[in-house]
Amino acid sequence: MTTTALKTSTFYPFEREPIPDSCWSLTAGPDGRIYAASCCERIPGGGVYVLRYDDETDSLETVIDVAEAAGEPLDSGRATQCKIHYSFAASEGDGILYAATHLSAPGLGQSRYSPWADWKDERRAFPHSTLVAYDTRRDEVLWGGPFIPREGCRCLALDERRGRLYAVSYPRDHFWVYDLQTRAIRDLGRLGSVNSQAIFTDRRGRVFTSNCSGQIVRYDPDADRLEELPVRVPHEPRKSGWHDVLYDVVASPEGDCVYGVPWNSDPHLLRYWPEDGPHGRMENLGAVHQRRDPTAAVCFYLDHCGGLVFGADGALYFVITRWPEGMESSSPLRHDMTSESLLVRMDVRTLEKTDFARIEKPGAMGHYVSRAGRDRWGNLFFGHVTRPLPTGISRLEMDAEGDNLHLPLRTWG
Amino acid sequence: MAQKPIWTSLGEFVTEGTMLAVELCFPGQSIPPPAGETAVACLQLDPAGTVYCGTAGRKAHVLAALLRGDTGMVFDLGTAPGAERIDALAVVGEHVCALASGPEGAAVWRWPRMARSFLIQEWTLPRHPAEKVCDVPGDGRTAAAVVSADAAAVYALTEPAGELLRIDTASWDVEALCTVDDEGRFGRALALDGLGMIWGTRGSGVIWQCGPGTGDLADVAEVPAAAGRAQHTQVSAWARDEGTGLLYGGTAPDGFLFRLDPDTGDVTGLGKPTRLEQVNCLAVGNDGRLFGAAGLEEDIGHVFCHNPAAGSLRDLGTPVSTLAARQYGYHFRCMLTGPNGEIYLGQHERVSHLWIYFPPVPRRVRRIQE
Repeated sequence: MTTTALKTSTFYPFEREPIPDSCWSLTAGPDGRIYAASCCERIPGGGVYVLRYDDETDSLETVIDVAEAAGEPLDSGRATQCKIHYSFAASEGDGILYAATHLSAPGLGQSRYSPWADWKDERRAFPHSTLVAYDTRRDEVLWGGPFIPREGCRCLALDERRGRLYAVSYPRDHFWVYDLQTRAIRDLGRLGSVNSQAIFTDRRGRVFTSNCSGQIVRYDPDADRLEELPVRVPHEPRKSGWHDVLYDVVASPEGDCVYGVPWNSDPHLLRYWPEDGPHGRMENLGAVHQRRDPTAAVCFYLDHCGGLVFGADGALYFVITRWPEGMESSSPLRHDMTSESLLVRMDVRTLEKTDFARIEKPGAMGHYVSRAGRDRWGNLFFGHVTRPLPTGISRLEMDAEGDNLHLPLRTWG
Repeated sequence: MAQKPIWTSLGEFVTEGTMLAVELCFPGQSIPPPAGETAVACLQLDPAGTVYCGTAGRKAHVLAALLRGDTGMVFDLGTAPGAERIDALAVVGEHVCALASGPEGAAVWRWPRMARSFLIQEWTLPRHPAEKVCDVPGDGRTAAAVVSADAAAVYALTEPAGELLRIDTASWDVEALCTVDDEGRFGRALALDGLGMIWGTRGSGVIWQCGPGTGDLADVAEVPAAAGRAQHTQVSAWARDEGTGLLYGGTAPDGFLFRLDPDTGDVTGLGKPTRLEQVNCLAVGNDGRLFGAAGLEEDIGHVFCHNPAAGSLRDLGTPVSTLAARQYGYHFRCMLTGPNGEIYLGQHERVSHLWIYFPPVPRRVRRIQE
């Protein structure tokens, strides 16, 4: 690890009422602009809005009111369309940004919501995940409608050539295939118990995700079959691999491999070559965080890695946490600056890592970055989840040269 | 709109007793059959304590679960060639026999029984090929099947014809006893009472019984149903209390529970144990408590308990296992009471486990000396 003078990011709060509590998704749109999900996951009757960073005015603008697009008022009393959770998928060919919603906020007037307890309650339950197609060329919602019945969409991927979307649902952890032409969805069955937080495709249109044991699961669209592969998400030797579900996965610029991290404490960086051999080839690129007390079950909100994105310079960037030794077993959710949120730059040829920037929120740590994106000017953006409010996104000026630097486009959430 | 913390459970998961999800393999030594082939469709108990599981999916496996004492593993005996579902399992002599069905028809296959001890280290576990015992006439689909207490016969109900077959496990002759409903409206569940009479439902919620040797079918009673819903109602799960001889039934599509006295034909409605549509399976525990699982394949299912001594009916919640495998359990199709009163549940999903429920043992009430 080498260190240079750290750059600093600029924070853009979500300024709505009620105050959004999380940004679970952020992506570059087909137009090269940054879209972010302003989510209200804990707010009864709260809704999700899609915001866009306006690089001319240096501000955020609201482009989709999802409740309106879905035709589902936020005061219905049912669990609301409250967030978009790793479920943006951008289509370069037609300029459409797809977004699928997720659940967790109670209906207006309700104090609690459980997708298990309220299952099929026609007055309280989440009716369905909603899919919205937003035309970034005309700046309008083309259509919106039901997506996954009764469940939220944890993550979403697009196969533009086949005209399909793929999704993993919550809480039942099923794998779904959606045909964009017929707008019909199919359930291919259960994956496990803890959701994978990422789903991605290879150049052949095969689809990959993971089960709760960290095993890679592949869908072959030609065979129309899901298959658990003898490939595992790398993890610490002292751990079992349970809960090493994929968290964030980004494709290399060449598209021949992906880099990723699991949603677990002690995350390791992985590189996976899906087209290498019958099951692909997994590489363990090592732990992203410092050593810590292995007897402590560390809070994911501290020991978290996310926001993987390639820069226009061909380097991989990702956000990690660095905390004072021992803090992980004392007070991991302190909302102060005793832990650092760092953007690491990695040269993918040499695997050399450099501390590159500090990703901060005013007065709070900002290390739980959900997703990152690169805009048309090559600048990097990061979605924040951690409290206290307000949440929002961070922007990092990268001094890249040229335009359309958002390409190649990320087609999964 | 005030923010409130919501990341706590609300009592929606099993609230009493302990649930364990057991992987369908020898942990650390083998892997389960592929996902999509592990939906447990039926269970059977070997006198030696082995629990056999028959699966459904692209292939139909027969698994032997040895979970007691110094064993602790599930062994894949093999698949029934060409089959997509094991409809029933019977322990006959030294074999476990499986009625299996698929596009190529139905047949009975068998394997040597699996009884082992001392599997904590240094094991020898040979796998034997499946041996075909007999073909079963019909179009290859079995709606329901039940095995007589002495394993002398397997009774199977064909689909869609609704023909009740008797498969003699000594001669392996297959005899058609009767057709339970000419219009194909019948329940996908069968029961046997203490006299060996076969019970099922047909038409508009009519309970029938059939003599095991005669094939004479008689309508006995009506299934309890919501008002005006009898025409849609069938029994989807049965269980027999060996202590009292009573039968319990659970219904589809509305998910009611009832008790049937096979001697008198008296039916007593016990209510609706969960808010879900369908009762999938039932088992009577050693102490007389009745356990069941409800919910469609699309659902987040619940398990429930009826205690006849207390007259109580209780939704126990959604199965979850945090010991052994950490899993949610959403859909179950079969249930069995083990020798020690533990309840085995066959999970019926793309990725499935064999679940064990240990019901709570009630605390004795201290008598206060007057």
